[in-house]
Amino acid sequence: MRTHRTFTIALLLAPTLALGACGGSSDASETPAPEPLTTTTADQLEPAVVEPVDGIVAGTDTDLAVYGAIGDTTPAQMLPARTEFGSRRVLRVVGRYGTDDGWLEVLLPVRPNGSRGFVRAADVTLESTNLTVDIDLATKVLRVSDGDNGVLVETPIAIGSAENPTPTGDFYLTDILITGDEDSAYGPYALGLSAHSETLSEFGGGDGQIGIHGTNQPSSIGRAVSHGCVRVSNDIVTALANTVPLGTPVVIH
Amino acid sequence: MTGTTRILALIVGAVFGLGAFGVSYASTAYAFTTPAADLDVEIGIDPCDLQPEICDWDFPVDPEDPEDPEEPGVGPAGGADDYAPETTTTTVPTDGPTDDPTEDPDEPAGDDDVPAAEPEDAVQASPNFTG
Repeated sequence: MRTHRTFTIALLLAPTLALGACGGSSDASETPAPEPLTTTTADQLEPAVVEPVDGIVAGTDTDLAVYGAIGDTTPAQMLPARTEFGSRRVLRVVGRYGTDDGWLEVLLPVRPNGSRGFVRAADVTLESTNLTVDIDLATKVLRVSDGDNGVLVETPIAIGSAENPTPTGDFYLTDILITGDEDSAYGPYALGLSAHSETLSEFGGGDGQIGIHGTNQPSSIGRAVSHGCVRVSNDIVTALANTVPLGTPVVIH
Repeated sequence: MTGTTRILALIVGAVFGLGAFGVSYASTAYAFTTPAADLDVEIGIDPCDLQPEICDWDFPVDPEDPEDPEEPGVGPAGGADDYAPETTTTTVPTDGPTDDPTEDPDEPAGDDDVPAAEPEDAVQASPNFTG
């Protein structure tokens, strides 16, 4: 009986065809017009540093105008939004002048070592870090400190040879590079600094930038054998890459 | 009409009446018991091939028909409004958590299954530092 009913219904029912239609809509979001840059003259600025700048980092997503002095209207140079390796551009702040429309004195990642310049506070975003990296060339030890919380990392290092010494001064971290090859001469990570070699104007196609990196020659650690870079073990450089952010102050003495 | 004639008329009427009833019964029984396969041969198609879903339907029970063994409540009894879609019940265990008790509840789920994330702001590049 059931078979007959099924057949009857099969004859009575007409095949149906469902049609689906895809539709889409696009939201035409309009990009707001950029606000005009504010202009500030030197006589409008408060001359003193208004707050501590330790650990303050200026970051930007666009090309950044760097001025030679507070109140200049023509940039002395333009820094690309990205480093030559593609890292986000950050600058270590060493002075802060004025208030909302003020100026920031920054360390520049260019030759000669220790170069400084000024940027408008309105052109950057400010970040901060409590970490500092201290590199003692005499004892060949690198330490990472976290403000008042003490030393996080203390490790032996290899430093530049007598012919190509590691430069000294106040610098900061500009790049965190993933090498993709743990067995390379740089190990798994290489951290770029704002420092440059005083003896090598170029190296390996680069401009002699100094870095902290791993090594495939762990026996070299503890010795002055490099071309100026600071070598640490691969485990340590991995820890550093995951701990210290861009802009972290690096003091080499 | 005589009594004999009446008796003969009743006999003839009963014979023809039973014959008509038999013919009707036989044709009805044939129609209701002929397998679909036989009918398929006649029309050359299987309706289940056209719309397989209709072959899976259940049909309502006539509550007054004691021979209908099917359960009521499912199928197109009187139109689309009477159709009750088949439902699926999911049983949720209530006899305790299924999570690994050794896992830290503060950790995001699935951390053990994904590779470690690269450092923030790290980029893949070939360095050319002084080495």
